[in-house]
Amino acid sequence: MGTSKVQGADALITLENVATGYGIAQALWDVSLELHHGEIVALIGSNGAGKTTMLRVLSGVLPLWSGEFKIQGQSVKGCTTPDLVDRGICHVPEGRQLFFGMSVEENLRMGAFALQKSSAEINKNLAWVYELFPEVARRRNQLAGTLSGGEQQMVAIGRGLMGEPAILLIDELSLGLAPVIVDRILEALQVIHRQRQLTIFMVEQDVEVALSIASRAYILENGRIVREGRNEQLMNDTAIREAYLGL
Amino acid sequence: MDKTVTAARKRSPAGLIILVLAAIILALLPLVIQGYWIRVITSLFMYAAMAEALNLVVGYAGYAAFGNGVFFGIGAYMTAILMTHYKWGFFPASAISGLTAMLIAFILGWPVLRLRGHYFAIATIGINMAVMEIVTYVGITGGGKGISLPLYPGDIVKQGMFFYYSMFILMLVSIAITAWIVHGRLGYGLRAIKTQPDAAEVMGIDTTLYKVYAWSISALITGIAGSLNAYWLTFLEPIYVFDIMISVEVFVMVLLGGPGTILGPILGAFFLKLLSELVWSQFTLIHMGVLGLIIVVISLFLPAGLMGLLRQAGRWRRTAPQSLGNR
Repeated sequence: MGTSKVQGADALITLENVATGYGIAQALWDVSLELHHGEIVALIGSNGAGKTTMLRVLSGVLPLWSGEFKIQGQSVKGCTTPDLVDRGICHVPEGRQLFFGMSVEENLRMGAFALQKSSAEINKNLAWVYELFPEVARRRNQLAGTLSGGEQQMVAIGRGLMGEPAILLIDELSLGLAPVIVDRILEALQVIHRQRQLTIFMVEQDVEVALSIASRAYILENGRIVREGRNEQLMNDTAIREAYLGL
Repeated sequence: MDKTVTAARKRSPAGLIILVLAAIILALLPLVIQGYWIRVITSLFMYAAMAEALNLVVGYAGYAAFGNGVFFGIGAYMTAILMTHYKWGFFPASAISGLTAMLIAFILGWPVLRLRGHYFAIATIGINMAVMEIVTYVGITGGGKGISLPLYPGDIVKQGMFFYYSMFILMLVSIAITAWIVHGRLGYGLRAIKTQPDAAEVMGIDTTLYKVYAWSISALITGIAGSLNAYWLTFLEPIYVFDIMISVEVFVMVLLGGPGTILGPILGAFFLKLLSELVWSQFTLIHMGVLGLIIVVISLFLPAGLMGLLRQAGRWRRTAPQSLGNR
């Protein structure tokens, strides 16, 4: 299934000249970005570049100061988070943020909270998540807080998938995880992407992780997008190799 | 090997049987007790219902509503005004009192429940104080002199029975409402908000709305408790019904029993009230001191309350025959 990449034609999500921040502290300047159906796109940047802020804008937690935010060409500026969840946006937050007082299964079911679906359909999704992450399935009745970091990340992603999103926003997937676990999760993301043609937007500090599955990437520095390009272009860019890969 | 950490809670039928037995015993108790003890247990039911109501906000949503007694006072005064000035019967007056408390919580909830942590706790205390001032200086409430309600028609024994069973039913209803909420969407939403408010929001939970719901239901039950209490005592004064110590005592009951459990607050209310009736009533001067001491002891040694202790005891009993490894 080939996804056409004509600019603006089938953009699932569009940000145009967005500025925002916290109180009087501006965090993003003139940010524009487009995500298309079925793409995996990475957002790369160092600490404090504004990556998480960008995800907060996309999930509706942080209002825009100026600029435009569209989903499938329709403006969603000023929409609340539950509205955006309804429109298929799912945010897998940094640090997993599982509901620790609940079991793994309850956490996953929470992901379908806003979904108006029959329990049969929800159970089908649950079975699918368990199939993707068998290591999590084995621990379905354990409290979420008793899981390892990697398993928690799997539950967090699984919880996101339970909401049948059109786009998955993943914040710092690799944070604090062993490389072998990160590889395992990236592999699962590729399976998810292949099976459901899901759009994935991942925010990463680790450029190698990001570019290993993303087809395109944006580079954020000090609240501005300084570069964008296809995976191989960026990989071969000497400036980027020096700044982010240390090669 | 996963046994020790498998924490998915299953309702044991034994627990339910004990619960039903306890309810039957309490329902039949007036056959053997009278006078003083009827009154003690009536107030016990009232506090248990209020603790259960507060538990929705404190235990499930995780918001330290320190001034929930304000709804107790609002319910009491609403009933007094409707019955004395407008000659309403008790039941319609009581229903309107509960709904008024609920409506006020619903309206105040939107701004106040956006606050988190200490700020919310302090705001609720402020509301309690502000309402007390308003009631003191408004004519229709009788002001600082207080207000008298009509007496319950019938002899003193019938009156005792009426309030005993009314409070008993209120307590059962508060338990039923809590159980219903906990196993439904609202309960899951609240628990999610308590542990991870930000994640709850990106799951599509309208967090402010859910907190407002919880607080409103809490206010409804507390308001009806206040209404019943007003009719029972037949005399109200602002400094009695808006006493911040009512809020504090109910709060301690929730903490003592186990916040975020269905029966914990009931247990906490019974325990604290009976203890205070049996022991401290002999030493009225140090009553407050002992209450303070209990708060300190709970927060240091019983963070999950009596219910946590019971659960822990159950776990020890189950794991005792095996070796103490694993953990």
